[in-house]
Amino acid sequence: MRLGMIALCILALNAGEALASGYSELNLGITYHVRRQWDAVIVHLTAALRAPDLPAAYRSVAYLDRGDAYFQKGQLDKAIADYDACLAADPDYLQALIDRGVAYGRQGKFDPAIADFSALIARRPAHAFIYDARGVAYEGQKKFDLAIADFSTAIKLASSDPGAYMLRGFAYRVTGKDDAAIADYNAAIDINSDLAGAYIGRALANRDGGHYSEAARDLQTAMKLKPDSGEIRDLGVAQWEAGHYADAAQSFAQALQDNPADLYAVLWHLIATLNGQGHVGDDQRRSASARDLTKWPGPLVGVYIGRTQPDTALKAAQNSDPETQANQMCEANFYLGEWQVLAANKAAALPMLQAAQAQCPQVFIERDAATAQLKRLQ
Amino acid sequence: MIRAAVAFVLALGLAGTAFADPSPPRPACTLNELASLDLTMEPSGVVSIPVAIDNQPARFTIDTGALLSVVSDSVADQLKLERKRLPIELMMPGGVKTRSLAVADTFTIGKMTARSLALAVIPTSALLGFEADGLLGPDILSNYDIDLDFAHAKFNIFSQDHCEGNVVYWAKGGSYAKIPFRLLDHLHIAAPVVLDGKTITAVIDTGAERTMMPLSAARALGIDVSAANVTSERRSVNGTAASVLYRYPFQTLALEGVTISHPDIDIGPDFNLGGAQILLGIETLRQLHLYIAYKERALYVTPAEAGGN
Repeated sequence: MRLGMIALCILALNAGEALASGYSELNLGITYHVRRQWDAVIVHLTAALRAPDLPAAYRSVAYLDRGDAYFQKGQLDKAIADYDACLAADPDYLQALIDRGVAYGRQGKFDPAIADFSALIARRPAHAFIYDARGVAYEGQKKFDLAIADFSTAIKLASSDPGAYMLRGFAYRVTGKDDAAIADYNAAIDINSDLAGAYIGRALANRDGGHYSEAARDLQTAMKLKPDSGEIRDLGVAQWEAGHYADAAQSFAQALQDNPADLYAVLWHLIATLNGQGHVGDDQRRSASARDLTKWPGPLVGVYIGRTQPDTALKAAQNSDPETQANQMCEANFYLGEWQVLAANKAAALPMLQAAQAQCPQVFIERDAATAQLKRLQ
Repeated sequence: MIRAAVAFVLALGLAGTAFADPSPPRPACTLNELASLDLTMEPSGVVSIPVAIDNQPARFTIDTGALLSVVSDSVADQLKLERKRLPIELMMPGGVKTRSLAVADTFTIGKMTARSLALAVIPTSALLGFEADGLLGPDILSNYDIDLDFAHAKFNIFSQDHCEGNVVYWAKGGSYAKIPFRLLDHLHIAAPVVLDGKTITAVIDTGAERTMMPLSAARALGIDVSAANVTSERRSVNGTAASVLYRYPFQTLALEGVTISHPDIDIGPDFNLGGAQILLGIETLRQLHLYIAYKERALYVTPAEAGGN
C-alpha cells in the first residue's frame, strides 16, 4: 500500500555521490569498502569524518574502514593512525586492534603487533585467528617456539581450519622438524585437498628430508591446483630448487601476471629462464628494464639485465636500519651468488651462497635456495 | 509453518520473551518507546547494540535473518551461563551447527530486562568480525516494533500496543511507504519489492552484509549472466564460501514509494529463501529508515535521512 504518493528517491552509488551529509558519505564509503575500491573508500570516509553531522557512534567504523583502505594501498603509517583514531573513538572496537597489529607486522614492528594481538586475546580468547596472527608475528622475531605454541592453540580452537596446520607446518619446517611439518601439511590436506599451499609446504619438507620423488609429486599437484598469488612464488622457488626450471619460469610468469609490480618475481623469472634456456629473450629483458629499479631489490634485477654492476648492487643493500640491511645483504649474497653461478664463476659464487645460507633468516626463501644451489654445486 | 526445531526452542521460552516493560501505560494510539539505543556499525556495515547479560556488557548484532538469537560460546563460558543440550541439532545460517543453549539469568536491552532467557550457543569464530558477542534474532525482535534509524545511529524499540499505522514519527508529516509483509519460517520477513519494474518477494535480513539474489531467481527475471553488461568475480559474501558472483546493472529497487537507484545486488549460487527471490542485506537497508511493525505485519519506510533530526 502506498501512502506517500510522491516517490521518494534514494540515490545509491553511481548517482549518490552528490549527497553530502556525513551519513551519506559513510554509507558510500562502507559500500566501496565491501567492494574493495580503496580510493573511493578514502574519498567518502574522509568526507564523512569531516562532516559535522556524522553521528559520533559512526566515527569508529569510518576510521577503521578508511584505515583498511590505506592499508590496502600500502600506506601503513596512515592506516595505523586511523586505527589509533578508531580506538580513541571507541576503545571497544576490537577489529582495530587486529588490523593495527597486522599493519605493524607488515612494517616489521613485531613488538607493537604482538602487544595488539595479546590485548585482543585477553578480550577474545576463543578467536583462533588472533593466535595465528600473533604466531606469525613471533616468527618475525624468530621466536619459533612461541609461534608453534600459538598455532597449536589455534588448532585446538578451530581444528577444522587447515590454515593453522599450514602455519605450524611452516614453523616446524624452518626449524628442521620435517616429520612434524609433513604431519601438519597432511592434516591440512585431509581437511581440504585443494590447498596448493599445503602441497608446496609438504614438498619443501619432503625435499628437506631427502624425499625427492614425494616432493616432485606434490609440486605437480600444486601446479594443477592454481595457487593463489601468495603461493605461486613459493611454488616457483620450490620448482627451481628441484631443478624444474621451465615449470619455475612458468610459475613466476604467472606471479607477474597477478602482481606486475613484484620485483622479486621479476628477479626469479630471470633466474629460472637463464637456468632453463641459458639466455633471456628481448621481451623479458625489456619488461624487466621498464620497471623502477631504484627500489630494492631493483638493483639486483639491474645486475641480471646488465644495467648494474654487482658492486653497485651490493652497495645498494646498505641501509640505516640494521635489520633491513641484514635482510638485504642476505638477499644480495644469494642473488649475486646465483648470478656468479650462471656466469660459471663457481669460485666467486661459493662464498656468497655460503654467506646467504648462514646469514639469511630462517623464514627467507633465499636461505633454502642457497642451500639447494650449494648442494648442486657439490 | 514453524519448523520442528524452532518450535522446540520456542517452547523453551525464547519467543514471547518476557522483557519487563519499564514505561507507564499510555493511551493506546500513542507510540510507546521501550528502549532507544546507540547503534555501532561493524566494519562490514551490519549494526549492533549494547546489551547486558547477567549485568555484564555485551554487543549483539541486530539480525532479522537469524534463525534464533545466539550468544558466542566464549561469552557463554566467561559468564558461566547455564547450558542446556538440545535433543536435535540446529543448523544456523552459514552452515553453523549447534546443540547447545545457554540460559542467562538476566538479559537487558536498555531498561528492559528478561529473566531466564535461553540463547543458542555458536562458536565465537562463526560470528563475523570481533565486535559482536551474539545475534539478536527475530525470536526476540518480533515481540516488538523495532525502528532502525541508521542515519542517526539509533535503534528504538516500541511496544506493539498502538493503533495501526500512526508510527512514522520521524517524517514529520512527509511521505513514507507502508509495505505489508508476511512471516516465513523462523519469523523471517518477506515483503514485496519492485526490481526494474517487476514485483518480487524480498527477505529483509539486517544481519547480511550484502543484498543477494539466487542465480535461478535472476534467470527467472530474464537476466543472462553471460551478457556483456554483467560483470563477475569470485569472492565470499555474507560469511559463505567463496563463489562466482555476478553483478547486473539493475536500475531501480522500489519499496512502494521509496526507490533506490542503481541497487547493488550480488547474483550468486542458489540458496533457500523460502520462496522469495531476493535477500535485502544491510547494504541496501541502511539507506532506509526502517520501522518493522511485527504484530501489524507492516514495514514503514522512508529514505534514511528523511525528516532530519
